[in-house]
Amino acid sequence: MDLKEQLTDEELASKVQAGDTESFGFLVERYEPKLKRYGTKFISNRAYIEDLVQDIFIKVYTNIQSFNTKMRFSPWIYRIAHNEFVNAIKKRVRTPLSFFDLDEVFPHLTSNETADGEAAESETKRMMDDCLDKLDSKYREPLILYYYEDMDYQEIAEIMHIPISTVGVRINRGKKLLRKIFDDRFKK
Amino acid sequence: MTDLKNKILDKIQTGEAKMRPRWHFILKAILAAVGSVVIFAILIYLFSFVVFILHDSGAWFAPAFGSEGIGIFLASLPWTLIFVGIIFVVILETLIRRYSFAYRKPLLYSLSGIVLFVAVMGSAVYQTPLHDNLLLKAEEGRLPLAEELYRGYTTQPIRKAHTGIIKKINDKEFKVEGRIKNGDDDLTIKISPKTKFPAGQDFKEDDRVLIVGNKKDRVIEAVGVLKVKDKRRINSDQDRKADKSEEENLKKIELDLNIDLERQILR
Repeated sequence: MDLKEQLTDEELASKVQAGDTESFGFLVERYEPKLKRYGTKFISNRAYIEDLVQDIFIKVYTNIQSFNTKMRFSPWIYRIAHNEFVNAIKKRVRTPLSFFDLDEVFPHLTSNETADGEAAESETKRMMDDCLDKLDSKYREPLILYYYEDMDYQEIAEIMHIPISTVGVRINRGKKLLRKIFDDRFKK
Repeated sequence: MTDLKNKILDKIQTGEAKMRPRWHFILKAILAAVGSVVIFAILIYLFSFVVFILHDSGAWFAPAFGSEGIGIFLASLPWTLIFVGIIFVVILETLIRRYSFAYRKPLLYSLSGIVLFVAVMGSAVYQTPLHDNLLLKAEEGRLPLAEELYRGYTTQPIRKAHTGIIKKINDKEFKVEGRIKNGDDDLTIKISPKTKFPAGQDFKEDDRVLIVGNKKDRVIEAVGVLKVKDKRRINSDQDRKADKSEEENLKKIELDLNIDLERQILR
């Protein structure tokens, strides 16, 4: 087994910064399935996702010197992926230009991270599998990162560049909307 | 090895994908920081300038006359400058929103922080003689770029409000020398029982006053009169004091030198 396989993402990124291209290959291996899975939540065309993931890795390599190895690598690469996928959606669908979202403007009280019970979590995931495509993207993404990528509110905030309290608000609202869509679709 | 990994490593090895050097990001961060500082400086300058022209015209004090005064204040606000300021605030917010200290908190906090900081620093700059000196230079034609800005904004008359220095005073009227440069050299202010004095009637000659009322042929039927601070005169008084003390020091040095010279001649 290659010793590099035992290195953390941050240690591999540090080696890439020092000029070790081979280490970048290990990062690609680690993140390729994750980013492809993340991409399927935004875009349905698999070939297009493949192209986008390739572009993401090229951007990661190009900008790797801006990564601070004292920070976690995962939110950093997901931030690049987030931008790439969001831009891809914008190119395909003409969305109205919004400078700031109201959710990000005001402080929210209901921002604490609360752990769902196992049953509730699996129910939310089931609803997400069935109805996620019907959900507004601003609610869809934090739900994906929270339930599928196992990220906490702070990491999601880092990826989406929104306040931590807004992450909580969007996840809670997203779950409610998901429940409504799910009920409308299957219970009527 | 996956296909994607091969493709990417190939692109790196053939030089199709190139790593940007660290200095590129450092330079970018420095430029963003410098840009933010410059925009902050512009905003502080704009804020202090708006406060300065509102004081200069007297409109700053108009709200003391109640709703009519608030109307005068709002009508005399330099909306173009305020609009420019708002654009700079939006640019600044966009610049700092890239940093975690800004995006981790609700937008309201960072916007309030910017506005508060600019207001505090702008008020501090207003207290300095910066704008008085620049206006003086503009009036003397020695401020090539900002001459129009200073001359334009400080000579704009405000609707139904006038400022001036009291030259003569009696129970029924004031004679006021106007500071507005559109021919209001001498104004007569008629006082009636209806005239409001929000800060009392303790007026004396050389006081600067804000008068609210319609002007007709250099006569104003005063709806209200308010004594207001004249920063320019306070500054010029301070300058005069400073000049006097400098003059005294020079005289003392001169005297000491003369005494030394006399002593040397006597030896």
